Amino acid sequence: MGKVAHNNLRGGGGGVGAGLSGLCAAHGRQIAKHIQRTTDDLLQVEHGSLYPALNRLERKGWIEARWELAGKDLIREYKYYRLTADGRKQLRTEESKWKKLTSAVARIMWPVEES
Amino acid sequence: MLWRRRGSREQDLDRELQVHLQLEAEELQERGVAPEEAQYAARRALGNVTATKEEVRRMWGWNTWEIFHAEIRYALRNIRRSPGFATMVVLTLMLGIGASTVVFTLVDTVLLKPLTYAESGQLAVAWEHVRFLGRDDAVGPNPRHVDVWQSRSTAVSAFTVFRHSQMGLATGGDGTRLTGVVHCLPNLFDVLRVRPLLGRTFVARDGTKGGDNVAVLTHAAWQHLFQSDAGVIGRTVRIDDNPVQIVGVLPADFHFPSANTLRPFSSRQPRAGLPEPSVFLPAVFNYAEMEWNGNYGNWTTVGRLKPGIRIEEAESQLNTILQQLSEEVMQGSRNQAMGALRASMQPMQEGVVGASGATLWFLMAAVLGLMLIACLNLANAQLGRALARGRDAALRTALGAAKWRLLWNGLAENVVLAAAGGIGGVLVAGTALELVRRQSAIDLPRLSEVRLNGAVLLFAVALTMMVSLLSGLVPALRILRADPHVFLQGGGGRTSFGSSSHTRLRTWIIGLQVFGCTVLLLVTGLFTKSLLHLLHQDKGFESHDAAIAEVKLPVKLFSAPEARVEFIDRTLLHVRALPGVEAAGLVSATPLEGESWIEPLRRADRPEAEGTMVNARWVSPGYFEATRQRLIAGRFFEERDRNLDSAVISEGAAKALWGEANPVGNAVDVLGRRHSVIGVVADSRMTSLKTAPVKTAYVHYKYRPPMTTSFVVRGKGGAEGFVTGLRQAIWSSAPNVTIGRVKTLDSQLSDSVARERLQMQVLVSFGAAALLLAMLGIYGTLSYSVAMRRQEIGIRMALGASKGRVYGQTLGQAAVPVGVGLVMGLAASLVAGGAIRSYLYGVDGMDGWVMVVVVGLFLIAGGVAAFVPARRAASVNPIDALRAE
Repeated sequence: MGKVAHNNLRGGGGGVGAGLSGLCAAHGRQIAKHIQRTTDDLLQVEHGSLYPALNRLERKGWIEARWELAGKDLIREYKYYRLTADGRKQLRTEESKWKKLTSAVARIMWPVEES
Repeated sequence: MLWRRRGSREQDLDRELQVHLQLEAEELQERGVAPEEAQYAARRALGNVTATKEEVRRMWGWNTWEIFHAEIRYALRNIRRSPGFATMVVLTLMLGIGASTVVFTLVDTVLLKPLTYAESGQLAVAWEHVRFLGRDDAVGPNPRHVDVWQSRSTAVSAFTVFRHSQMGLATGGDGTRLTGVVHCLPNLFDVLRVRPLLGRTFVARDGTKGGDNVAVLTHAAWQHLFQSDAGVIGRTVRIDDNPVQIVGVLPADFHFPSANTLRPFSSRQPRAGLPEPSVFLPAVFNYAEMEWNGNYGNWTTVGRLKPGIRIEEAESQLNTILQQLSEEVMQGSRNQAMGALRASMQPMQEGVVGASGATLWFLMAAVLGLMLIACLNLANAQLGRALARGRDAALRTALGAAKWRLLWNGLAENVVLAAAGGIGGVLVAGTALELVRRQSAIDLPRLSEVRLNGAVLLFAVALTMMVSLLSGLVPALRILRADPHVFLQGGGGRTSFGSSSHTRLRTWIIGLQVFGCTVLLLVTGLFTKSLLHLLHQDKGFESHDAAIAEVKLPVKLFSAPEARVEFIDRTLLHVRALPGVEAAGLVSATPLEGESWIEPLRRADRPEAEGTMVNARWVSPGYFEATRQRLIAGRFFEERDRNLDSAVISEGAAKALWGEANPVGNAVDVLGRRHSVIGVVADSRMTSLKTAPVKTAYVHYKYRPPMTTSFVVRGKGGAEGFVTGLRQAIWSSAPNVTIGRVKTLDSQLSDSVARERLQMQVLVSFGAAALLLAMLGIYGTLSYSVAMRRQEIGIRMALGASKGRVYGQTLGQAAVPVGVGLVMGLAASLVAGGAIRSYLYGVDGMDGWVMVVVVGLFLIAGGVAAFVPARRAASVNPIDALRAE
């Protein structure tokens, strides 16, 4: 299963973007955890492959990153990622594509019985 | 800047991953995992950090450059580890690129590039073929015939006529300098379609008497004489002591054929060291006063064909007109046939290139041969190197290196070496071309146009690099295909890989090299022998300890023959008074510059007979003593001949007129005057070393004291010693004459064979380089094979093989390819020898001596190259060799 997630991330970082959409701003580990948690551990991101994906999204201008102090006592800086306006738009188009794809798959797998 | 950005990005990524690891570890610790274990677990969860980093970096787009950088560094490290190989490759490339660039540039500029005139394809040189010494020589046409062609021809839009000469030019500031001058019809620049940079070119009025004291300068002359002063128009210079006004300057890209090209009379030898044409003067032609049947071979004619007219059509039209002319003009004349038999035309480019085309194609062939040998050497060296690297490659493959990375490794090394060799080659080519350009003795047409040519250079670089890369890649590919397992087990491919197919391939490469080298050396040998023959044949005169001085007399001061005689007598007196001078004389034509002034010589008792054509020379007493020509009968000129009508004739002329009888005491008619023959002098090659001795008649200088005279002086203890004194003696006798050249007769001799010498020198250097490369090839292959078979040799010796046998076996390995190469080379050189036979003097295309020398040279060189590895093989200690396993 982890393998699937990995390939998916390589493809376009869609998963990561979707992961981010649920959060307003997050650092890498939070994103990884979030994906893992919201999918009931179904998609296990190999943490290493997360960072190239984030980098790719950043280069495309869909997310932006900033080092910010956070955590207990604000003693540690984290690199926080946020969706940009472009990123949101991209997410919406990807979302609709996914919906189409999944519904198509669903229709093939479980066709509605014809009366 | 870029590096800094990349550095901070790198840090950023590092930091981010570090934070990730810390968080993960802290979380695990909170769950109760031991701190150390937590660290490891976090790392495991993250996966391969380096791979992650690399993937991110690849997205940054820096990766390609980085790999390149790393690869180059790796290559440099490898190269440093084997400096011998690197030096060999770089030197080979340098020589290959350098030599081929120089030769290709010369070929391109001289032979292939069109002349620098607009529509230069329409320009054609016209020649007349004249009944001349019984030969069908193409000579410059009679300008009066050209004038008729001009008025009647419909195929040629315009003809122009010109002649090169050298005159003394004084700008007023400093002394008189000998300058290249072109006398031309005023329409020369219209025919060539050249527009002036400053002022104007000639107009019709310039070609009339009184209007002709104007001059047009070339760009180079303008730069040198007037420092590119734009106010030069209207200024006056003195040419041969006549005031001449400068009316125009030609553009920098205008190049006019040098004095040795398009010679109107090809039997005149090209002269070394002539100044480039730099001043143009209008020629005044009064056609009505010109002879109809004469004046051949004095002027060169160039015509511009009308658009769409082929050169053959124009030529046949000229012939038709010549035919008409012959009928119209010759009818009335007393039974005299027209001298001009027919006319011919050739493209101007072809005419300019002339005989040097052959020289250049030789050079081209030689350089290609050398390149072939150099490339083979590279291939051979690369093969050996690839084998040596086989184990390294196998190890890296076994460790999981990507195969393309291995390939790229080999490639990078080649790129580095090729770049080094390429840069070196460019430097070599640049220097060599500069040298060639300065070496006026080489005497190639269009030499002033020669520049390092970017396209040619690129071609040479690309060619050599391609060879280097291919020869590096092919063996690398073979190694990739090989199973790393076999390699590693075989302990570096010692047995299965090294000795069989690859060594065989390398030995055949050696065979090919030997083949190419043999042909090159044999051709070199033939040319060398030919040059030696030219220099050491019986010349009929002695060049040692003699010097010549060419003096031009200004027309105005010396128009009276008496003035010239007086000058000559006074100068001879001065010269003879110089310390060490044994003999001094005067001749009307500088030695070794070809035939000139050809006249019929008849017996006085048979005035109606045809007679024989001779070169007429006006000489003074002392001339024959200075040249040491041999007297066969009678006597040389003496002081008393001033009051007699005497002539000395050459042996050949005497035989032609009198057979075996002694002509001394008889009389001859030459130049419309009767002379009594006072002596017969042995035939000499005074006109040219390259042709058979010509028949010559010598008469006393009082009949026609020459405007351009050559003093010939013989003295004790080296001619160089009194060259300076000679100059002073002439000037002390008349300060206003122009001294053209003062040089030893020996250097005049060697200059007259400058082209042959250049050919030989180039071939010798190429041949030596080829021999060296072949030796390197033999040495490299054999030492590699010995190193690979060390164990085998050890076993053989342990089993009782003698040193002699080991020697024999190692040498024998080289003997077969060398032998086959030699035999094939000898066979091929028979063909080559036949092709070059007409360029050889006194040597046949197949010369036994040369063959013996070349084969001997090869056996010695090959033996030396093979002996060192063979000795290494024989000195293998069996115990050591076996223990090394």
